[in-house]
Amino acid sequence: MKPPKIHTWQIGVLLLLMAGMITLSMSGYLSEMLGGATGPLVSLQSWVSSRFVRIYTFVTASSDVIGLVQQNEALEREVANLQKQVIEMEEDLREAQLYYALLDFARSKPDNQYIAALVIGKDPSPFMNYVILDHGSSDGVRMGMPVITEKGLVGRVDAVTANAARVQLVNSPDFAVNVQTQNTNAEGVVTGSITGALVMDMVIQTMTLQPGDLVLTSGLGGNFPSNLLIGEVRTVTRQENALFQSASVQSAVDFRQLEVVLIIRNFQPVEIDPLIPQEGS
Amino acid sequence: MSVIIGLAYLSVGMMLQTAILSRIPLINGTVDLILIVLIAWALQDGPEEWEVWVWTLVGAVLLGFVSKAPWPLYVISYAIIILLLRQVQKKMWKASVLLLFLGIALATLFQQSLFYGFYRFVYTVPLPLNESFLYIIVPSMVLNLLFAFPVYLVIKDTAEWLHPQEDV
Repeated sequence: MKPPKIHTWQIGVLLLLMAGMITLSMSGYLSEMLGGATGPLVSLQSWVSSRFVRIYTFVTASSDVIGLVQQNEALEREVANLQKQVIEMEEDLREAQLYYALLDFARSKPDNQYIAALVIGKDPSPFMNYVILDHGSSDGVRMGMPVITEKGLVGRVDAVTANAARVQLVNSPDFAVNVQTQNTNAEGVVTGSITGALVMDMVIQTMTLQPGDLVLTSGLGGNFPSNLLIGEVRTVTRQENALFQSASVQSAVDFRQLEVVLIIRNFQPVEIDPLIPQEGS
Repeated sequence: MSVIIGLAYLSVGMMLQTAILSRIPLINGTVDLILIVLIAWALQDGPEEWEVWVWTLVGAVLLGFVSKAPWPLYVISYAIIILLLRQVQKKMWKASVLLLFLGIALATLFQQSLFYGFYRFVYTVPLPLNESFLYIIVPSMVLNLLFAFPVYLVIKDTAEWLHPQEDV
């Protein structure tokens, strides 16, 4: 096939047309002409594009929801783990604070030697208030040793096995300790009760007892060191015709929350029974 | 086999009682898990007489070991309770749940009264009767009754596992 022959005049016409177009474009007349022609095209493309974007969003969103659900589950698991860690750390912190308080107390009284022990149980009989510790005679615990916390007197060791010890609490009904008040030096005896309340009794009528007085061990009887805090006087009962006055005492130690205690190992209770005269002798 | 299972149950029961349940009092009363286990076991049809008594002895000695009260007191109180319960059970065609609740209520009353008397008159601890009854004995009875049925179901399943009954 023979290619069409291009004449010189045709080339000239083309060049003239191109030059005319360029001139029109540079002068700004062409854009107005093209604007009228391209406007509908641009509008059409915008419509198609917006519909495409909507459809694309709709299709891809469903897969994103599944991804979000999975991500949400993973985050929930992570949150649960973190909450568990927070609870564990708070528990550790609470224990650490407890140990620091006991340590501070032990350092403040360097004359005493202590054995720290955990409370691992309570006497099953509800009539008596005794607790069981996780240290026994193999750790140096002996019968009669005083047991304290940083807040005050807890009780005394009542029975010991190789690896455990039973402690008679201050609020047990069969407990009694000689005490005196801090400010007025009123002497008496603190006893426990089945309800766990402490009573300071045997205080002679001439002594002054006031609510708020601190009650400390007096050391009389030799069962406990002196000046161990027991509690605070709450209410005083005084009757004119009675020999003694009494008072209810708010214990310094919360016996329901006992976890860690200190046993004073270098205090030996004094056995005074042989010194008490027997009847008829 | 039942002796080993009994030892395990009673040991776990004692640990639960001393470590947890004794620290959750109702007023001042506490649950006696060992007593409930022993009564539930004694009310089962399967166990033989000696098995019931071995469990009773083990439970009493375990509790007596950790308690301030002397272990013979636990042995005597549990033995009397189980003896009476077995006598009643023999006279009935089939032990009912009613007998369980009645047994636990009366056993708690008897045992706590025995302990009260012991502390009051042998140890000469000043325990007011009125307060002891209201704050310790009655709440302990309520707690024991609350725990009775769940423990009974566990012991019943154990007894049926250890002594499978033939269907008539």
